[in-house]
Amino acid sequence: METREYIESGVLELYVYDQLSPAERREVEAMAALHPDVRAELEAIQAAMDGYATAVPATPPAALRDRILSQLDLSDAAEPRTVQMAPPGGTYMWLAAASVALFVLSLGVNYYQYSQNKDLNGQLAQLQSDKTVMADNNAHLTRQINTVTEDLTILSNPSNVKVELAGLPLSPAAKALIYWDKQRKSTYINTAGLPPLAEGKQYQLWAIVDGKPVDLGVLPLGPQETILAHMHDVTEPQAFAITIEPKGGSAGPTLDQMIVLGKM
Amino acid sequence: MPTRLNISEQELVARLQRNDRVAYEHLYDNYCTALFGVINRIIPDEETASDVLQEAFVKIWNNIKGYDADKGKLFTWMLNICRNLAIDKTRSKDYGNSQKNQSTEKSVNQLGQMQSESIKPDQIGLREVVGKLDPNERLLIDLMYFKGYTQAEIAEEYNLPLGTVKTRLRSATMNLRKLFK
Repeated sequence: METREYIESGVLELYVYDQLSPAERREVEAMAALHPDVRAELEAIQAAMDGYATAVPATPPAALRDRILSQLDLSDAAEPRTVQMAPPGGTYMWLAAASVALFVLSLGVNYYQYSQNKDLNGQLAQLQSDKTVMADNNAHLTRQINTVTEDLTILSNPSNVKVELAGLPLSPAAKALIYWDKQRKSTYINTAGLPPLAEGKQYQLWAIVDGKPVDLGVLPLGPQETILAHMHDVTEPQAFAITIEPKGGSAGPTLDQMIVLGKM
Repeated sequence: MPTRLNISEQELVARLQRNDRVAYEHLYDNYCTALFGVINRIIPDEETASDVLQEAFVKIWNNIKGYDADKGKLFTWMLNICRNLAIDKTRSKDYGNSQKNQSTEKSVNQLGQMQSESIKPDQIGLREVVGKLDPNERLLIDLMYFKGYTQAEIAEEYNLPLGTVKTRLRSATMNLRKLFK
């Protein structure tokens, strides 16, 4: 089994001993996420190592606790503390009143800061989500520019021969454009002028060579990112035609389903 | 009075990420002896070990947002921070020259010494457990885990083929698993 081999390679031990490169670590993490037996093995090795490493506990010096905790910038907000007040009465009454007033005031300040903080967090989240949307848009635009650039390169090729395919009685308004590169013999087609097809049907392009139809492939289904579709090469076409065929195409054209035709 | 919270690890992590003081007190009070124990095994000097534990807590506090529970337990994560900082410390320039300028053979001896010195009456259980490990296998684990040696370094130092080091490491870890389940 594939995972057996992986486990026996010893890579999981090296992961636990922290002796792998970041890329190797990611691979182990991916394998553990994909294969429960790898994960179980990794956890068992880790548990044994944790146990061995901590088998000799030692008590740090008592003063270290405060030294460490005071160095961290921690917040008390999550756990409100009770406030100790002097018992009311006597000369301390006004002190108690003042401390209550201060406490109430500090609650107000706390609440103000808390709500401001919440506002800022909300704004931050909004900005982050905006950033994600913009990054998506950007990626989409980059893809579009790339495909348009590709199309433009094909269209501006000087050895192209442009062939207009015009509608036949089946659909007189239909049209399509072929760009055939007479040097490289490659064929591109723009099919924006073809009507939508019924379910289970697909357009197929043919070249007429020596009076006989040659299959140049079926046109892609569904919406396309590129304007031009790259079809099969053809050496000496006399004409191009498109027929409506069952999905996947046919070995030969169904002649009464021919929708456009154009001669060289 | 040590702080003890009765909460899941997941909730503890969430509270640590919110910078909650009580959660950090809980973390310190419940894990400091285990973490200090590991550091102490690498750095016997208590004062230096204390500095490392402090650095480790600052690092934990700084990086807790990046802790990913999918990749392992919180305790393992903290343990690795402590271990790596301690190993880094033994390699740093300001680490005591007397401790540093030693060949591996000496540090192997020191390792044994370190163990016997640091074993206190309540840790006799460990001596028994460790006694069940083959000394060569234990040395291999300790060199890699507590000293940060690579397999290649061990192979070179002990004149062993790299393949042998790899095989031994795997069988040593297998035996360790039988002892620490």
